[in-house]
Amino acid sequence: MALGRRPFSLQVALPIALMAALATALVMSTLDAVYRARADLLRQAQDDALSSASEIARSAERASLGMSSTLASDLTIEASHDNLSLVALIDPDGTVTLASRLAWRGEVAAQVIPNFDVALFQRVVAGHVREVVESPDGRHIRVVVPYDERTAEARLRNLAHGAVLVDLDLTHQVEMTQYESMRHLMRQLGMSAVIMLLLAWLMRSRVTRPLARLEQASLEFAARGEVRKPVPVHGLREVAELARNFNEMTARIQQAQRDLQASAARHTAVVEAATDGIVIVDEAFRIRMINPAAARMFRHEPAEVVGQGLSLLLPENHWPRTWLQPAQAAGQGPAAGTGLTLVRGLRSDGQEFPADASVSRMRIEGEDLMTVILRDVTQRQLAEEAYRELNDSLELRVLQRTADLALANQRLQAQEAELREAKDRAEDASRMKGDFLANMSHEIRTPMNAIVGMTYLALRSTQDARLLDYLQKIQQSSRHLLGIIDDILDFSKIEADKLSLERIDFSVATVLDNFTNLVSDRAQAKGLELILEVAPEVPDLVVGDPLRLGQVLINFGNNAVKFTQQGEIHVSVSVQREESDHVTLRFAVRDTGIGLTQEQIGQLFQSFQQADTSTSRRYGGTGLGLAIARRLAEMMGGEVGVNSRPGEGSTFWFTARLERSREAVPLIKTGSRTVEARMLVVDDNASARQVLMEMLQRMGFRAEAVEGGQAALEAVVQADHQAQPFDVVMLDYQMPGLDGLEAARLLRQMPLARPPRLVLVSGFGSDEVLAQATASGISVALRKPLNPSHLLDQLMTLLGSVPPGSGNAQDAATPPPQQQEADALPVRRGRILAVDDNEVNLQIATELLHGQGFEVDTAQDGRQALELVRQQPYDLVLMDMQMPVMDGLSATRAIRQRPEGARLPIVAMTANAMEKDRRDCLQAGMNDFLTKPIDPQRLASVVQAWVRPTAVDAADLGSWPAVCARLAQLLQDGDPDVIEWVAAQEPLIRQALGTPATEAFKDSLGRFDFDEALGLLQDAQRPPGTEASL
Amino acid sequence: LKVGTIVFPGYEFLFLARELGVLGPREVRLVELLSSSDNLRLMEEGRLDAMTATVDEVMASRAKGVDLRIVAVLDVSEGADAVMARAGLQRPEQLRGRRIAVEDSAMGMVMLDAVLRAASLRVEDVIKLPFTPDQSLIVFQSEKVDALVTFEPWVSQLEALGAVRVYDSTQVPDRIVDVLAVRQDLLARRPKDVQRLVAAHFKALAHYRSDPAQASRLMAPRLQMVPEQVASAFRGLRLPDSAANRELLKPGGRFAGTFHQLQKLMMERGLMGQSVSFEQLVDPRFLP
Repeated sequence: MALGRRPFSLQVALPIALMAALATALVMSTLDAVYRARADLLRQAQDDALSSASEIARSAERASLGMSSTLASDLTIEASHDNLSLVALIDPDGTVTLASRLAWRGEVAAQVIPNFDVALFQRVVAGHVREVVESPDGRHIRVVVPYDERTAEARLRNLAHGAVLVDLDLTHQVEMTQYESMRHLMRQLGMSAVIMLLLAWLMRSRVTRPLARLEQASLEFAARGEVRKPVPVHGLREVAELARNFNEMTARIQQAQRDLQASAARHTAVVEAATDGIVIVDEAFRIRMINPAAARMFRHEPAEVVGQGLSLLLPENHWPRTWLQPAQAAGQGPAAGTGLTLVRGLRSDGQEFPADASVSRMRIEGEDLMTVILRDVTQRQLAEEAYRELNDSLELRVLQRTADLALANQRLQAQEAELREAKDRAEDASRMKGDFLANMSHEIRTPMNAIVGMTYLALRSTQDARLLDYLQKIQQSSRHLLGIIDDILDFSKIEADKLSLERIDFSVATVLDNFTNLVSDRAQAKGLELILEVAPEVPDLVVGDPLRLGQVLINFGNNAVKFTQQGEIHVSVSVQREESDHVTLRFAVRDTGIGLTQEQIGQLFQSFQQADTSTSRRYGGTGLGLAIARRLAEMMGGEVGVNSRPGEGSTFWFTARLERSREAVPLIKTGSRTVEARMLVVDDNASARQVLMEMLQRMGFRAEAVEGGQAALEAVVQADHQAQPFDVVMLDYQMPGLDGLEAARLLRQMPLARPPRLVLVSGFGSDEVLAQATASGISVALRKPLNPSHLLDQLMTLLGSVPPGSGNAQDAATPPPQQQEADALPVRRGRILAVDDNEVNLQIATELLHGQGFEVDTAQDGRQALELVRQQPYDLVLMDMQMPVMDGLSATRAIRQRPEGARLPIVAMTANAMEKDRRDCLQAGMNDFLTKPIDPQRLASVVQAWVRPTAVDAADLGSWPAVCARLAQLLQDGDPDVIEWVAAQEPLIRQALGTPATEAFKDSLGRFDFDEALGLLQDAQRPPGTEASL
Repeated sequence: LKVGTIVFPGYEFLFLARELGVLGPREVRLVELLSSSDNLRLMEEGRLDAMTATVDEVMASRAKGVDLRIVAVLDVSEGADAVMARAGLQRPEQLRGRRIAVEDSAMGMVMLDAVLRAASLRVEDVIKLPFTPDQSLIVFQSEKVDALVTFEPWVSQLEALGAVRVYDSTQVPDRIVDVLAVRQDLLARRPKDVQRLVAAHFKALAHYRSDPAQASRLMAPRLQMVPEQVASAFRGLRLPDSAANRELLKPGGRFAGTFHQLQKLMMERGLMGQSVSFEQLVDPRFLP
């Protein structure tokens, strides 16, 4: 870059460099092309020259033989060829015979032909070889070709050789080639130049101009510290990026500068506006800056003092010593300060004044500076002096007052202690009241139970109409009272924190069963439809407190019945939230009752509240129910709520977060047993229709629904005609127009190919209805609301039977043929109690057992069973699981708690063939397990396994439970035979009770204290942990 | 520029120019041919750019499609073309029934026509034998012919052998003219070279006139004469200089007359199919 210190701009340098490179390449390639072209030319010319020379040589040979005389002409014509500058025929003597120049004829070749090489000629002539000579500049070629001169002389001395000499002058061609190449090169260079100019222009517009703008902007920025407007973001990507970054950078710097200026301005403003004097001095204590406040303080003009020593303002003899050791302090940090010091200032008029001074040191740009902040404290000092005087007199008074205060304080503390004691006492009293109520619950309930129970018994034992009326009123009142008491007690327990929830496995279905059992009677009495809808995903088994869950549900249900005059009560259970080990169930009770206003809703769930006092008077109740419900739901991790509008009914709902049982199964088994059966649901109530249909569909049946008797008839006929008859028709009892019974009668009378089985669904459980149903050809009458499990049991049984009215209705009740095999088993006599709410099941069991020689009693529910077991001994109880009033599990537990039931074999009968059910049964105290429908063989073997001959007759009873049961019975009855009986069974008893207990037992018997003996026996028998809660 | 030429004194100034260094081999290459037939053939084949020829040869070439332009008149035959007869035949009239060798060219025809007219003979009255003038001496010596239509330098050589000049071009002035003709496309393409060529001729001519001795020495070998004889070769030839050329070639000038006459003759003889205009044939721009 010899052009000076300023280097080439990119815009110039790049195209020039490219141009130079391109030009070099072009020149090189041109040179190469020229060289090649010349080489080609040379080669071609040599060939041409050789061929011309050969032609002439041949012509000359022919001429020498006298064959032709056109040699001279041929030679001249040959010489007219391009490039041929000279053609000569030279005879062996070196004389030109013929030549392209006539003038040379006969001359000596060496004299006329330029550059004639005699040696070469001799070589050619002597050696009979061709020679090609190229001139050093490559533009001339000489070809010398020999020919045979066959003259007369030749005959004598054999052959003489002459030569044909041909000169080629390629100058013109070479120049033409060079000229063409140069022209080509120039053209290419021209084009390159144009491209370079274009490139330069592009560089300029896309790179250098944006760069120049950037440069200018940066210069401007460097000079003025700001850029008036941002550099346009333009040009190639990198350049544009650069411009953008530059803009961003300048914007940031400018922002930073503005911030800095603002900050400086703020600092200046602070300093200027400060009421304290601020003086900045350097290391030599020369004043660098003084703010207006300080100037005023010292009564100087700021300009006068700047540069002067600090001692002008603050006489040196008053300086604190710390000021004089600046360096070390300053070195410690950016701004090291000293505390407040009292110094003396000197005003310009010579007046001295006291001032508070604080000093901070700082290091700014390598210089140690000291900032002195001063406050004139003349006034304060005056005031302080005044204070000091005042203080002296005050001190005495303060002492006096302090003593007074201490006294008062002591009194207050004493009062506070008293108050705390009183509060504790009050709280204790409240707690004691709660405890009392909670503890009293048992004491209150027991007599109430007695009253209710006795009244019940008295009702059964009189026919006196007046007495019955009294007793019924007593019963009503006592029940009402019991309810109120229960509410109050529950509430008290809750308030006293005495209520704890159980955590046991329970079945949601059982809770719902209990609910329907309790609520359906009342609903039915008011003509309300009770509909139960359980979502399929609701698990059956959960862990929680079934009793309290049921309590809330029953409360809602009772309220719904209470406040609904007509319509339906729809109970639904759904899953609100699923967690891995918990499930939140939502129970909702919807009624079509009077509804609630928004204000009423707000007051619900409060303690001692009802919707309004008038309803309280009209419908009764403590108003505690919903409050209890709320507390219970909360305790179960849920909440309660109500959606309602006046006149449109209400929906009360609550949720409960329950633990999943480890073997949770859906409440309703879906699809697990698909039965190809068609069901027709006939009900005028849309909800009931829908719920029942869905229930059936979940069980795997194909269900359809119609809304009346007439439609049902049509549907049945049509299905029959289409050869897809309904297997079961479920008829609602109460329907407008054609009711269930009437529809059943008409269906029975129809000539159908396959008459359906008929099921009556009724809200009433009265015998009258059942009788009517049977008369109408109905197989089964079911009570609303339908329990899915129960319904399934019934349907499975029904589908296994032959529909009545088809000629052999009795067959349905007769035992299946397997009975014959069961008969072959050894017969054991005994008394068996069969418990089932299903008449058909009972009948089957009864027939089968009769066939085996047993006496059979039947019970419809757990409570009846319990009653019968209490009244007489049984050898075996067959217990259904799902029953109204009291289910099998509850009944079993109850029986096991009775002395006569402790050893009684109880065998479950259930449609639920799950392991879970089996375990539940065994946990409840059952001994074995039978699945429905009952297999006669299995029944026989189970019965055989558990039924023993009558204990008294057998000397070797063999089985301790039976022995024990019989022993207890005898003791209970006070039968003196027991002493003899014990003597016979002593080894077994000793084995069971152990020697000490057996000795004590025998001792009691010896003293005829049968009660004590019974107690000992029971103590020894009771499994640990099953404390009887009597 | 390749210029085809044969040996003829009127043409030799180009060679003199070459010897004098006025014509470099780079601008002009003189192709030395033995007969004008060769010359015309090479011109037709496109191997020549220009040629020295007689007017009728130029016109014949034109007729064959070679677009030639006459750029200069080299010489005007005033005795150089002659009918030479063996001794004993003195006058044209004596040619009746004789064997006359004549080149089958326009110029030959022109001379034959002229001599027959002079003798009031018709073509049928003589026996025409074709030959080429370079064989003049051989043919004459073979005694197969009685007369020859030929031109210098053979006229002089034949005289030396005892032949008699029966008729010559002095009797048909300006009829037989030798010219320098150039392809039309080269006039446009290489006008400088053409100019140089024409100028070279006149320079050589001027040199010959100013220093005939030296010029003769240079010209002698080609003419195959001793230098002293060279001057005699130009007997019968008028050599017009540049100015004379201008005069001669101007439209309506004497050459124009010759041209029309010649054209008429050639048309009559069927040597030309199509007439050309004088302006299309002559281009005097290159005269110095």
